[in-house]
Amino acid sequence: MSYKSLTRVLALDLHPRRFGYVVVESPDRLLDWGVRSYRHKGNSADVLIRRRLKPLLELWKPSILVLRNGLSMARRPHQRSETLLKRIATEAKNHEVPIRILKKRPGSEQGKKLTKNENARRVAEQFSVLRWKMPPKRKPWESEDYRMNMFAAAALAMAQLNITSFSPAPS
Amino acid sequence: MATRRLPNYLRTYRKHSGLSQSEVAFLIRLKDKSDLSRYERSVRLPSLRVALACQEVFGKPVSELFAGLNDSVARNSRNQMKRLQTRLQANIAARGTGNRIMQKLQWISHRLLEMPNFKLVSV
Repeated sequence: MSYKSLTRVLALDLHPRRFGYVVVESPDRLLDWGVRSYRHKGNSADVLIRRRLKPLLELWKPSILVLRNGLSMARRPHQRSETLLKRIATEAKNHEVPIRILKKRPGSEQGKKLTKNENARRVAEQFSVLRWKMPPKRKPWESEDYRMNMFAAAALAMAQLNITSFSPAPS
Repeated sequence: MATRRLPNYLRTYRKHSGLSQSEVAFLIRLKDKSDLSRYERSVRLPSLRVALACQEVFGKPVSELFAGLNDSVARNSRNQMKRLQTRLQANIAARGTGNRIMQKLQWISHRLLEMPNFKLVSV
C-alpha cells in the first residue's frame, strides 16, 4: 500500500566530525533523531559516511535527504567539509535518494534572524519528545552543545515539510 | 512522491518512550538487546509472542507497530482472495451452481468489499 502524501525526510546538520540527524514522516511524525560522530584518528568523512550515514539510509529509506550548506556563506573554502558534502551526495545517489541542499538556515528568512537556541525551542514546541534533549542556553564563554546539531536538523526537516508552527518563541 | 510505510516502527516507539534497547528487551523477555536490534532493523521477524508483547509494552496495535509488514500481508491476502474468487467462478461455469460454492463466493465478495483500497471492477 503506498500513500501519495507520505514523505519521509532525513535531515542532516553537518559538522566536520559529526552530524545531527532527524527522520520525519509527513505530515509531522518524528521517527528518529540523534547525533552521530567520529572522534578518532583517520579519515572522519569516510567513517561518517560508511558507518554512520549509510545505516540510516538503509534503515529509514528516506524519500528525500535535506541538508544545509553553510559553506557557501563562508569567506574561505573549507576543504574537509566540501569533501564530506560531496561524499554524502554520492552516497545518497547510490541509494537513489534525491538530495536538497539549503543555503540559508531555516528561520532566517522571516526578517529577524533567530538564534540557534530560539530555533531549538521552536523545534521542541513542535516535537515535544525533543524537550528532554534541549541543551541549556549557551553562555558566551562556552562552546556549542553537540545536541544543537540535532535541533538544526529538525528545523531543516520542518522547513522541508512546511511544518509551520513557527510562532514567535516565548522569551 | 509515493513512499511505502516502513516494515516496522519499533525503533520510533522505543525512542519516544526514552527506553534503551536493553530495557525494552528486558520488558518483552528477550535474551539480549541484539535480538531487539535485529527486529528494529527488519533483519529478523519477531515471533507472535514477541509481537504481542511489543503491543502490550508500547500500547499500540501490532498492525501499527509492523505497519509495512501489515500492508504487504494485506496486499497478498487480497490478491489470493481474488485468485480464489476467479477459480470458484470458473468452477461454477464448468459444473453449474452449487450451494457450497455460492456460499464461498458470497463470503469472498463480501470480504473483498470490506477491505480498504478494493476497487469494484465491472466485467
